[in-house]
Amino acid sequence: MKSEALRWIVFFPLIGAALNGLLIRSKNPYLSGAIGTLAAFASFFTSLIIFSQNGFSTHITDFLFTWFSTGNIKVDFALEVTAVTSVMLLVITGIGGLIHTYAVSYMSHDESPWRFFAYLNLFLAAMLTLVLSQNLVGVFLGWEGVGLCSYLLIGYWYKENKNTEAGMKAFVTNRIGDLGFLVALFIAIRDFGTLNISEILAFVSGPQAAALGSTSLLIFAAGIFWASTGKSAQIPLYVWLPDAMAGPTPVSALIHAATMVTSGVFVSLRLWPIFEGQAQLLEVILVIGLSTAWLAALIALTQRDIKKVLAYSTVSQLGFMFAALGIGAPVAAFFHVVTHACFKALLFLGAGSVIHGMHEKQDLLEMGGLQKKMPLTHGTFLVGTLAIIGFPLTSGFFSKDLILEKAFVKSPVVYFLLLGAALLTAFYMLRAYSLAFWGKPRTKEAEHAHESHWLMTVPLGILALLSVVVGFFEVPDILGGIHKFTEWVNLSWIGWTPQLGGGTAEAHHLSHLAEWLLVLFTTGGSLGIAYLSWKKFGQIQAKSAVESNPGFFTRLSENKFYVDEIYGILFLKPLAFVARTGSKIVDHSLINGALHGIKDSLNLSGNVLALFHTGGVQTYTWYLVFVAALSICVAIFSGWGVL
Amino acid sequence: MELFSGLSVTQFHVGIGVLLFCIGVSGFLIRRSGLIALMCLELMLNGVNLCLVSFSNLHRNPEGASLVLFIVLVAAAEAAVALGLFVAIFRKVGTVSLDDLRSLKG
Amino acid sequence: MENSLLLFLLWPFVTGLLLFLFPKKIPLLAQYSSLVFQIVWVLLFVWAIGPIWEELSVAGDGGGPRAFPVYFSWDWIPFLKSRFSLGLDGLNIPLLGLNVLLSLCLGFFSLNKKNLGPGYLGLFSILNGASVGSLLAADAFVFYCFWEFMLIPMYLLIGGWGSKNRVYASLKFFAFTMAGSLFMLAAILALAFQFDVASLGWHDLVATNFEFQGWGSVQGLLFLGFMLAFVVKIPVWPFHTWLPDAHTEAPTGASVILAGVLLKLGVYGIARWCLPLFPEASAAAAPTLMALGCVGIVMGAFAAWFQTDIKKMIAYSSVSHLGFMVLGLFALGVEALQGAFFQNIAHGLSTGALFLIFGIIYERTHSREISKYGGFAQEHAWLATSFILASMASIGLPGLPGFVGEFLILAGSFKTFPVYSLVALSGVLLGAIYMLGMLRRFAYGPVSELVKSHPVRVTWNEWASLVPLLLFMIYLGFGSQAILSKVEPAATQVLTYFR
Repeated sequence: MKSEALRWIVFFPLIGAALNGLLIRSKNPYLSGAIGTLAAFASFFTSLIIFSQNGFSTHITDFLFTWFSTGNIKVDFALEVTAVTSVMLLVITGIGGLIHTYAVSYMSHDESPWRFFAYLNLFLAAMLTLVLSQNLVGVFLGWEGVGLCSYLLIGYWYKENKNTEAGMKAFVTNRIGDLGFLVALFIAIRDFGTLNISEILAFVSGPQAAALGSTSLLIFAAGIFWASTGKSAQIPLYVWLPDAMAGPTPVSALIHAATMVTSGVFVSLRLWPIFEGQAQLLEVILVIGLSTAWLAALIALTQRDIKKVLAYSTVSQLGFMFAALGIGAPVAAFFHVVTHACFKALLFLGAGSVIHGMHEKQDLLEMGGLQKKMPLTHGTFLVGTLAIIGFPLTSGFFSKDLILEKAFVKSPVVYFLLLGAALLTAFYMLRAYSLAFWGKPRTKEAEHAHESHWLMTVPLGILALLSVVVGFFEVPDILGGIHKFTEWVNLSWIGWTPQLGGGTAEAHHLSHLAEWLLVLFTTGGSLGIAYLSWKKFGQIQAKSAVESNPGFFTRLSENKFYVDEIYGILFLKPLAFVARTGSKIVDHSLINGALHGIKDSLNLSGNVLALFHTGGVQTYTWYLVFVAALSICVAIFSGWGVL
Repeated sequence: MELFSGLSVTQFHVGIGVLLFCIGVSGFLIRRSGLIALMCLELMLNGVNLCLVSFSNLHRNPEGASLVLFIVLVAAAEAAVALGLFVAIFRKVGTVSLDDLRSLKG
Repeated sequence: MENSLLLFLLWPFVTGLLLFLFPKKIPLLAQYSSLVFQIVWVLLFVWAIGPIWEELSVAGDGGGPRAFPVYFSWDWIPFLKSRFSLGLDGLNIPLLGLNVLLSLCLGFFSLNKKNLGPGYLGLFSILNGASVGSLLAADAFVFYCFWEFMLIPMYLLIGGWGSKNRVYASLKFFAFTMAGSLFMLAAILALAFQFDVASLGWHDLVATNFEFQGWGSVQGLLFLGFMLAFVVKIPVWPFHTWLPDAHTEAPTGASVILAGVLLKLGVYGIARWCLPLFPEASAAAAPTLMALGCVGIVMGAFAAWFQTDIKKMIAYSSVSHLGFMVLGLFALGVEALQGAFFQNIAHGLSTGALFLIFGIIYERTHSREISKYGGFAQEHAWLATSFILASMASIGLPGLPGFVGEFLILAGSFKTFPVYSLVALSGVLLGAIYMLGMLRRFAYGPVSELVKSHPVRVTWNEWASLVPLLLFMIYLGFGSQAILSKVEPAATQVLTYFR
């Protein structure tokens, strides 16, 4: 079905960005914010209207123009909505709108709010392009576009070198990943002959794909996955995300928690029929997802910056999603994307509210006792915390349980590994929560903290509500068995029937008893750990109580396992060394050296010849006479037959 | 005239021409004054002219003789320009000695 | 048609000579007249190109390719078998457009600049004439004449209006390019006298079949002769070391034209002369040249990474980007060839804009050291934004034209030579590293002493020179098809000689 309304979903934020960034440039945060927020909500309602008219999961397309086309590369600028997309659309525009609203107040003291909202709207437009685009180049446009906006927003306060360095790190790290995306695009052009996602999927299930052999499919999928490790912050390219917290908090919530970082999962999901056939790759994805979930959770245990805790928590949760993909449960992964978007946005905005109330202090040890000073923030943050640790009937409970259940079906080992990461999550989240909101205020700022403006608390409330409600789209059989979400998502891939992780009727189905046991075990464990953590950190009165004498592991964790340093020694420094000395030696010494050698030898020969060039006209005449005499002699002698 | 009785008219004229030319060359090579060098140049040209005319006469071909007219013309022009140059040089440098005019040295 | 084209070609020569006669004391008079001449030139361009613009995208008979839909020829030098022939097709029209656009922008840029008098403007105009002439030429000798003639005004522009080290740079530029094109002259003379060609016209030359058996054979030598001129001009690694020096020392306008037009002529020359005339030799040389292109991409980026001089950094980034174009040319596929031509335009716009913006800043600060800059975004937000936009275009961000070019080149060469394509891919990453590294130090961070003490007020004419470039850049990011569809028949034409 075609619908011209689709383009407006992308255009509204673009118009917002143009208004804010180019035309109005108002320093009034409410005006700039209103434009930005309206643009976001305009997209949200457009999406809603389209879905209400056309049904939630119909296939809708919108062709705008041919972007470039030559030989057998044909790239249209065309949009397409499938079921996965429509869910993602609502997440992006809905949560995006709320975060915009929040940001109006959060950025009200900034000196150029117009720039902030312009970037934020531009980000929305890019993200929506990524999600909506019908072909992979369009996806790549959005993919790089969100990268650019992320770069601009991380370095938003560009007066400090630290921020722009973090922005650059994010962009470059993502570019490393993007190379994989480009390779996948090249493979698609060469071997599949098309860049259109539906056509690729059709091709893959068709007879030509079998003739092609599995290598190109594997490289294609691996390229996309490699790109996803960049954008979705997985090992080995996750290092940019924690640094990205240098940006304003709404940015962290929108880009680095709810939307952009999940785009790796999203793209893998759109191309799921290809991934599904690559068993080895799925194994790799599983391993990487698991290790990311663990590594990030371990680092999060000791971080003192509230945003850093949440950042590593995001990395860890993204690890969960990739582990789910690796297990072969795309719907579970995507469900976690959605629930995570709600509660992690909530947590970040809550953290932002705390930071705002604390006058830009982010250190957990300097907080304490905020629950009385900021009751609304506290309440909503608590909801978010409960959701992320999987408190029964919150959204995180359903989504995490779904992943763990699938993991158990796959292999108990995977289940236990994931459970371990989930328990770590419970520990560090409760640590952060307790340190911030319980105990006694540990600094002056904490004592004078104040509740935030209603523009900030209302989005918090709505997100808290969502964090609870969203889970009910997918409820396990033992608790009533709602499978709306699975049904929607399974409609995404036309002409493809779920084989591994899609529907509810699977080959390996757990008995109800086993499921009950699993749920109880998981939830019980998480809550137990959470209680322990709360006990440990909830009563801390003084800053010094925590700071004493860290052990080996604590130091390792605090220093993020020295991954940045290791990368520096292994990759960055050698590369820089090669580049610097290589270019110097080759350009300077070899090429220019050789050229100057030629020049110098010419100079030298010239100087030698110049000795004969005395400038005296009589010397020259002597040469003339001499040569003339010589010629005459030659002529005469050759006439005589001597020569 | 006994001395030259063995020679034809042409040989005689050409001999004179060669002599003139050689005088010119040696003068040009030996004398330092620019003005004398110029006169030597004229001598050389005239030596050549004489040869041309006599060969032209020998071969009954007017081209050589007409070429002489051109040479005379050019020589006159050249002398005029060169004299002018020397005057200018003298004003600027204060000498016309060829040994001192070496600004073309490489 | 015939007259309009000839007028378009002669106009810059005539106006250039005319400009020399303007009084030196009143540079404004020359500047404004030069601007008027430029505007007239743009109109002449539109007049000459307009009638055939639409039909450019039409393929030849039976959907096939076609060469030179517009072609004129006058008697010129019979003993050289050379006729004064001019042709128009999809290969040269976009580049002509770029040339005209850039010179119009520079016409605005030169206003109110005290040091840019009639001499500068006249040379500039003549330079334009020469570059346009070599683009239009459809005869090898005519091509050579214009090609060689370009050097003179460029040499004088760098040597006369450049910065401190200008003499060295201009001499290096001249010696390098001259040495390269001498081989082309030899090849052209050989064509005229040694072979049984009907004329030196493009059509006659492509119709002649030169024997190819190894590099010592006829076609091999001729190919090498032409190629040497082009690889120096592009410049292909390792013939590139003249470029950073020339760019660094050249005045802003010359830098822009150098990056935007002169380098492009190397790429154009290969596509116009080397590939169709010597297909077997080109195919045999393709792997080597692609490898050189890849080395250029990587080494150029490496060198750009650690430059302390902004103009030098941009120059090395050009070396890197032109490596992509060489890759695209010799991948010998229509996608890659189209990519190379599109990248030509894209790179001309983005690098032209970079040089222009930096030129505006340099005029105030007189420093090219990156380390002395900092926080420029706070000093002049619009200019910094323009700079960032141009940088993003240069590193191939999707949505800006550089992406389309690089993508087509890489995707096209991936089909035929995947290994080279993958090596070249590293250029995409390295580009981000050096460009963003430069931006970070230049535009962001605390405001430096230098920036603080030299406030930049951008005048209206400087905006007028910059904005068209930026607008075109944004337009071509998505409207790429407008150019690609025009180039396609001509690009297919080039490739027909390889079947």
